[in-house]
Amino acid sequence: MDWLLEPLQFEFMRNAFGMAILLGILCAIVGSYLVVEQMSLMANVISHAILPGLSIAFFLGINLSIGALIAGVLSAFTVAWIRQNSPISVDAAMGLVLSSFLALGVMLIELLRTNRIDLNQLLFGDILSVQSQHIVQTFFITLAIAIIVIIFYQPLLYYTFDPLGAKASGLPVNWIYFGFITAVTLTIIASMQSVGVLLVIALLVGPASTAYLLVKELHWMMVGAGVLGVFSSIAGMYLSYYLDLPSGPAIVLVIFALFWVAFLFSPRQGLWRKIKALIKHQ
Amino acid sequence: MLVVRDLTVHYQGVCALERVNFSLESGQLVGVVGPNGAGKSTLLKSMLGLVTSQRGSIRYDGHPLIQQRQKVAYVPQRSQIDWNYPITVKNVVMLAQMQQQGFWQFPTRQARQMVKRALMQVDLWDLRDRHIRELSGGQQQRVFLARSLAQQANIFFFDEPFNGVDQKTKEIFYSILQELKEQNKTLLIVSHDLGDTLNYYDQLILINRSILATGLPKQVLTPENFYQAYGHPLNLLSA
Repeated sequence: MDWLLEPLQFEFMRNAFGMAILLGILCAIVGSYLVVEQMSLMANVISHAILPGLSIAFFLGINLSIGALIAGVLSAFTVAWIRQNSPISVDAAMGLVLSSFLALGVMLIELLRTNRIDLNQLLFGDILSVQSQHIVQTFFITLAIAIIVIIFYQPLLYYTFDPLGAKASGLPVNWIYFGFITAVTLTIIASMQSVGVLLVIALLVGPASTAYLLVKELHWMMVGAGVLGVFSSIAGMYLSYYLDLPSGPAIVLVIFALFWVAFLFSPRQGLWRKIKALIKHQ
Repeated sequence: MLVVRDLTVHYQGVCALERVNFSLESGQLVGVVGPNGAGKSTLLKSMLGLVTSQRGSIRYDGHPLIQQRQKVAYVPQRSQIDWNYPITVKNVVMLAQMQQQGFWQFPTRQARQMVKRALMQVDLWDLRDRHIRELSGGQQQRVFLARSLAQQANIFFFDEPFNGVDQKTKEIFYSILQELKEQNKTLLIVSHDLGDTLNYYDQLILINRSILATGLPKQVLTPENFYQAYGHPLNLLSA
């Protein structure tokens, strides 16, 4: 038991564990929607596109999260706008928006002399340097999104499963999209400090995809992804503590390992089951 | 009565529908037929406000249809649904209760009863806890038929409901359509199936961007009309 408790004597480890649990839950909820909406790459776009917002907010001396939120939501709307008003496919629109927002961000850091923004920290994060105010911020974001999802579960299910039917029945689909994008951006902002914008994709998409292979209802997917996300984050930190590994990548690799287990051995959709059926058939 | 006046739709720079006029009587089964790309699905979508129309009005009992969406049950094409989505048969049908009780309500006992009745009608009650991926094409189509029944709508729009479905599904479908007719519902079905099923319709609308003919099936499917729509002579088996 001692090896489990030992890391907890340090405050930075306690903070990191708190953050890991919150992010595990938050990313599971938002990530489940991303996966079923087939919009995982949108998280990638938003996570890079927040850079110009950070730079401008830093320059103006306002809260960086506000700048990031505005830039992230703007990028997602630019993708939707290009897609709706041209024959260009969504992946091309995403590629264009991601790179142009990122370029604008790098340019603004140079022009506004905001190069005190630590790009390395932003890209890779450091869960061991999480401060208690980050945990409080993440707690409120998680709480707000969890409450919204519980209240609006049915319309969100309708919208993500059958968007045309949802629109036909009069659901305010544009507002739902706006809310969804805001939630994704807030999740990325919350995760930025701890795992960085590059690895947040893993937390969003990994546990949700693993759960997707194991369950047959959206709410169970969220619960499963939450359990997997929290477990992966904590397991990754123990590995990082005892084997002296960088914590972010350790978490991501645990997530990936769990995905492989489900991918191979999921009772309904595992590769192993398919191979067995194939052999039996022959 | 549902009245469509002067409906014109441009879709990504192309004229998809031009000056479409027709009216649907309740208690009648009306089919929309025409070649691929004729604008059949666009017609349904523009009537529901899913595609923006440039001109025209759609009124039901004298008021704009768009303000009476809760009276409409829409069954989209099967290809527009992600069949890997994590949802069971029962919960797809349960989505219908939102239109009845408001979007923010959790299912009541009455709603659950309605879902059960609809699933029994399409013979899927035993499969209610299955994932939708685990159904055949015909069964998948019946799930959506059940959802439209549970909506207790006055107007039913079906987009290609017979694509790749089995005989049993067709039979269930037609017997339910017959019941809905008797209940005086307004029924509009888009189909490119020009086989023996055409006899079931009370009225056909032949379109290719604009309406070429409307009326009884045998009045509409004359060799001249058919040639005008399809660009080749009438051959029901190959159509």
